[in-house]
Amino acid sequence: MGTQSEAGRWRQQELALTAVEHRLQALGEYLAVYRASYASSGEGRHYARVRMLRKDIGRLRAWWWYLQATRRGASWLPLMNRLAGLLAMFVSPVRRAGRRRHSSGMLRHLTSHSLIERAYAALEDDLQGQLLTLRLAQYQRPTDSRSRDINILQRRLEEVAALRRSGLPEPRRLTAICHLLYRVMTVRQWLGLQLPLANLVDR
Amino acid sequence: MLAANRLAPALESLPRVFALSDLKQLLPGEEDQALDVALRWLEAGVIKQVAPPRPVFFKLILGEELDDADRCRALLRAFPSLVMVAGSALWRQGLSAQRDTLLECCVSEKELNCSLPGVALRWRPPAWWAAVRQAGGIAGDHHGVAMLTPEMALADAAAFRDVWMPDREAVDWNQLSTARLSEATQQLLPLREESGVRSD
Repeated sequence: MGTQSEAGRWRQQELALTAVEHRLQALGEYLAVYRASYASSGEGRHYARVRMLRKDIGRLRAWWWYLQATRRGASWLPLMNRLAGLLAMFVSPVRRAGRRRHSSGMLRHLTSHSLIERAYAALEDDLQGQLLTLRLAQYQRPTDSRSRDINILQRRLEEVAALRRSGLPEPRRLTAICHLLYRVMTVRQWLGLQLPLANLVDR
Repeated sequence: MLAANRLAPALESLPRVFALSDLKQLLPGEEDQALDVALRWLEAGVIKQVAPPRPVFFKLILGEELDDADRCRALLRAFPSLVMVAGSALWRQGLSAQRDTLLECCVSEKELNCSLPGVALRWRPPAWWAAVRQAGGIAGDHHGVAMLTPEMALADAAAFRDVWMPDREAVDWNQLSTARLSEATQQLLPLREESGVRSD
């Protein structure tokens, strides 16, 4: 029983890492285009987007680092959790309406919780897209192997849905974790130390 | 299925291009139904996936082709790294007398499957975006899709040779800067060598 719940937790962590990596990849691609646009035009709206994307990427990377550390059982994790618990008390319980509209049109500021929730939702959407493609092909030309693939994908989808529903800590705690690790990452960058992850198009 | 039918939003209430997340927003609290509804529409042939398996769709309307704005919107939702290149960028900036028959764009994803009519996607290595940035190679956007400057479009076409370009005499060379063309060519040179394009 213990082994089963351990395996379940391992699987959830794996899915959470996949979700964050997928989202980092997408945001990295947006960033590459906006950076190129800003370098060419110098327009403020591009700069604002670049800044916001960098912040989002930074918080997502911080969360990815936390997930990795949890998985590895990193020695600094208990201290980090204690600190995050303390800091969470100072994080405003009001979620700044979740998303604050920026003056330059479509830009939105997301809270750390919304940002990560969105990453999990994006993975769920991607898997559903895959499922639709497979189901449509199965409707047109049924095969046994595709039927098996559909079943596997459906199970994975259920796991991701469960992760989105219950795999996130309380918003204030999550915000504290992301901000703390984001700061640590910034300091590490100043010191020229290697940063955890990430596979972006053009950082 | 009955429940899905009862809860299904009208297809007309969605824009010509939409994502699965848009459909879910129309079914608050019943998000699981969105998948059934989308599948039913796909099976009926009233919608199509823009780039399977991505969860972005466009409505198929008999006799009504997708316009440039819809194609750009669809591509932007499916491909975050999208940049318009080649003759498509030249034509839309008024530098070519010949119009493109396919809207050509570059992406960093290797999976280039796209069901949108009149669109061609090309792959570029990740360093390409950095090269474009260093050369200041973006000339604004067309319906939100970043477009290469004419000089960068020419340099890119010469480096990768996988895109359509108008005939030489159809290009307005007076509007091109030799300095910027040289800068763009320099920036793409390492990629050209990496991609193994012969320089003769």
